[in-house]
Amino acid sequence: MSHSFDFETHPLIILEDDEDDRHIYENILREIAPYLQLRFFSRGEDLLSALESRSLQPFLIISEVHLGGMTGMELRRKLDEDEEIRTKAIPFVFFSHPIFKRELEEAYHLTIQGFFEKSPDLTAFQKQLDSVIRYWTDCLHPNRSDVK
Amino acid sequence: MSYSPEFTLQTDLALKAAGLSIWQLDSTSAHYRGDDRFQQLLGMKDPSDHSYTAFLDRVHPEERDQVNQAFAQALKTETSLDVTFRCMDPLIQDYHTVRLWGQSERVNDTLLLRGVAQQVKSAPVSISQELFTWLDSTSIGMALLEEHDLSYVTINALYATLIGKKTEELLGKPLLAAIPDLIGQEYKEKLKGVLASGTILSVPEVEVPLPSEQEPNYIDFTYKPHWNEDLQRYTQLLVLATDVTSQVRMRKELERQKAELEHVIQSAPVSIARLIGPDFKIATVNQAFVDISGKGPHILNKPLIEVMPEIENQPFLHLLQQVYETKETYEQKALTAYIMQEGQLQQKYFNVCYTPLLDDHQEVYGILCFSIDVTTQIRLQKRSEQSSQSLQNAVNLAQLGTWVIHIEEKVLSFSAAVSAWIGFTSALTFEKISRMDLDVRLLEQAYRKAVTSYPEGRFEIEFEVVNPQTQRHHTLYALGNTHFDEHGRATRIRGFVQDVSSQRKMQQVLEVSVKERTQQLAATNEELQVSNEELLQANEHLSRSNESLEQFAFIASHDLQEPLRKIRQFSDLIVKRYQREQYLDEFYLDRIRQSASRMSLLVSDLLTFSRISNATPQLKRVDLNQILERVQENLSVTLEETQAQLSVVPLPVIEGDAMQLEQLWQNLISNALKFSSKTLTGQDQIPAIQINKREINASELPLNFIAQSNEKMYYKFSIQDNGVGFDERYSERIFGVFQRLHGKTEFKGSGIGLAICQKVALNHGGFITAQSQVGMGALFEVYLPKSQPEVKG
Repeated sequence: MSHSFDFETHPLIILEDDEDDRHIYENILREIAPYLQLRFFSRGEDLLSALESRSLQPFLIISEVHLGGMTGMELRRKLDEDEEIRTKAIPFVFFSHPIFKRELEEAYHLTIQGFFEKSPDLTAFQKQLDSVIRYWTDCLHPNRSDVK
Repeated sequence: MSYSPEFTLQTDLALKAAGLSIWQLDSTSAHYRGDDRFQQLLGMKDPSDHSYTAFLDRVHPEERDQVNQAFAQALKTETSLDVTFRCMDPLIQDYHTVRLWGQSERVNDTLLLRGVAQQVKSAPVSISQELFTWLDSTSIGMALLEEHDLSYVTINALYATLIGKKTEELLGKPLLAAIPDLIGQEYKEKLKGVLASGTILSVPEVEVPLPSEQEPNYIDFTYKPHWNEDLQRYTQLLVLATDVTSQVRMRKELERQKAELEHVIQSAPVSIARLIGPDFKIATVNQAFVDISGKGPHILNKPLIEVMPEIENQPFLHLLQQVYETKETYEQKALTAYIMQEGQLQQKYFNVCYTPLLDDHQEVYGILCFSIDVTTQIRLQKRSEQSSQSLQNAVNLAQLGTWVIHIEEKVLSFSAAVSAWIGFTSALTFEKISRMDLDVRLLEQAYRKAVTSYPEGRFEIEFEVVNPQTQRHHTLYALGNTHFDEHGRATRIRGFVQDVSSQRKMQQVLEVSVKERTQQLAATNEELQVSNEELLQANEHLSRSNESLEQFAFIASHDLQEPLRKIRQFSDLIVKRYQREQYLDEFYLDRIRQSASRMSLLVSDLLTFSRISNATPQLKRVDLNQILERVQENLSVTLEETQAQLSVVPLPVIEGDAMQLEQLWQNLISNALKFSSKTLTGQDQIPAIQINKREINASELPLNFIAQSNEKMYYKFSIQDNGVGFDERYSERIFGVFQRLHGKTEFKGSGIGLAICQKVALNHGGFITAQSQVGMGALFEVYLPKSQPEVKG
């Protein structure tokens, strides 16, 4: 069975306040998944209000943990509290560097679908992103419009 | 003699009519002859026996002599015989009275006594009333009792009085009914027995209670049977009553007095003995003497020396003899005596008094001995003397002085010791004392208190006095008690005094030094408080530094690592992009990447080191085998690449922080792998790593660690590799941060790993050493305590 996921209407959201990192993300993603609509947010508050307005239907959210203002953890907690957003089951993964053990423990108390350390090795970083995107492209979940 | 038959017949008829029988006695043959009536009269048992003896045998035993004498007299004087006697009548089994008349006559040279015999009736003998009346004037009471029921037939007035009755109350009445309180049934049987046997019965001192008097009278009763001649038996009882009241009372009083006297003597605390004769036989003793002599009660009538042989060589016998000879009383107090009591010779003391006993002729016949046992008093006295001596010894030894205040005389006397202190040798009057160099008011106060506080009368004072001879100051402490007379008036105060000058001086010195020490302590305390505050500040400073350090660690880990990562990532991007164009020389870019990578490692290791330095180990039971497994997993890539031979003995479970211990082992093993993978000449080689363990005592620790060891038992782990080794000189330096013994290019590494190892060992109360020689491989030894203090037991 093959499904055609509408990537036009379901963008990959990247919450990242570091411009360098945004540049690296864009650089890699253009190469490995040119079909993806990329949307960058640098503030957690902005992403939250965009999701609450129902105007945004993401394919996947990649979020940094350490952010100016609302942190990645705080955002995820807010999303968990919103019944409607929660039932949409938007895949949510953290990418951060470096990672402390206590952050890992805290993050897995929330509803997340992964926690990755941004590898300093570009090739390795590229592999991480590739596998995550592949995985969620194949994976069925209630939010997918191609599932009848 | 011969008779004609007629005459014989007529005579016989005449005799028969007169109730006479005839008899004759041949004095030569001593045979009698009698007619049938004679035989019958005398009741001869055997008619053929004509012996005089058989005849006499029939006579009442009481009258046999009398009859025999009468016969003898008549034959001797050849005169007539007239004798009356009783003889037993076999028919009535009773006596009847027989009268014999006879005449002596010679016939052919034979003296015969012949005559007649007749039974006579005895005249009834009765005691006449006249006799009784006469007896009234005597002191004997009399009564006559009739045999049948023992009733009174006759009495005199005295009898009635004696038994406390009236004559009319008694006459005609049976004894038993008249005086039942005096006479019992048993008594009656006795009286019947008197009547039957004819014996006299005496009942002495019968108590007769009289209603008129409190004390009873005492009467002697005698019962005598009275013979009735006609009836030939005892028919009446004669009663004799003698009043013996006064005699009995007198005797009883005497007995009582004697008993009382005996009691007094016996119970006297003074021992009394009456000794008789020159050998001092014990005649009388009392209980006290028996007790003292200690020989038991059977000592009477024995010579003193026999009863108490132990006195032989003691003064007593001599003293007694002296009294016996001189007739002079001897008195002595506290005479020592050794007396055998209960089998032991005991020393005793007696007050004695020996008094001679004189007879009517003023001759000594014995000695009366009084002695009082004063052993207890003498012992007490001796003991008191001894304790008095002991007290004096104590006084001398303690260098005490003694003193007495004679209140009436207002004088103080004292012993020589006191003289030496106060400088006066003779007794002091109060007046003189008041002029002495001392605080008189203090003395007066103590004195007043002592004489007024009856009955305790305690005198206590400590005062200073200056000896006028030596000008020396003496502090004297005096203690005494007031003696009061029977009216509660104080008579004198007596006591002791001690020179306490040196003690007081010592005390003053002590007080001063205590004061000094107290001040010193206070100062030290203050200093301590200051340093405490400083410590607190330092602590605060430290905790602030710690916080800064943590912040630094965070910054180091995050903010430093991030740009490094980006340097690497951007370098990669460049390489990537220009790879497509295929003309970029990557050499410099590689340099950038390697530097960034190294810096990344440095920052990461530094972070670990700072964390381990600051963290207290989380102590748990940790299985080192599991730790080793995990380390091998972590290092699996390197282990495979180098094909290392890792041999590990079974490791123990110890108490420690699992994370830190993992770090320790990982660093040690990766260190060994790193330096063993190449030879000194840079050629690849297969690392051989040997891990061993041994249990050791603290005493087996390396010398420089023994002093720091807190536990008794340690595990010694060793990691031996076959690597390049290092110069022994650096065996200590190797554990310093950023200490590298080899070039960066030869062996990668931050130079922090071994510092972390040492930190972990120290955190666990352990140690780490390294030994090596260049090219000979390295040996690391880790010492960890078998148990940690917190999780012991």
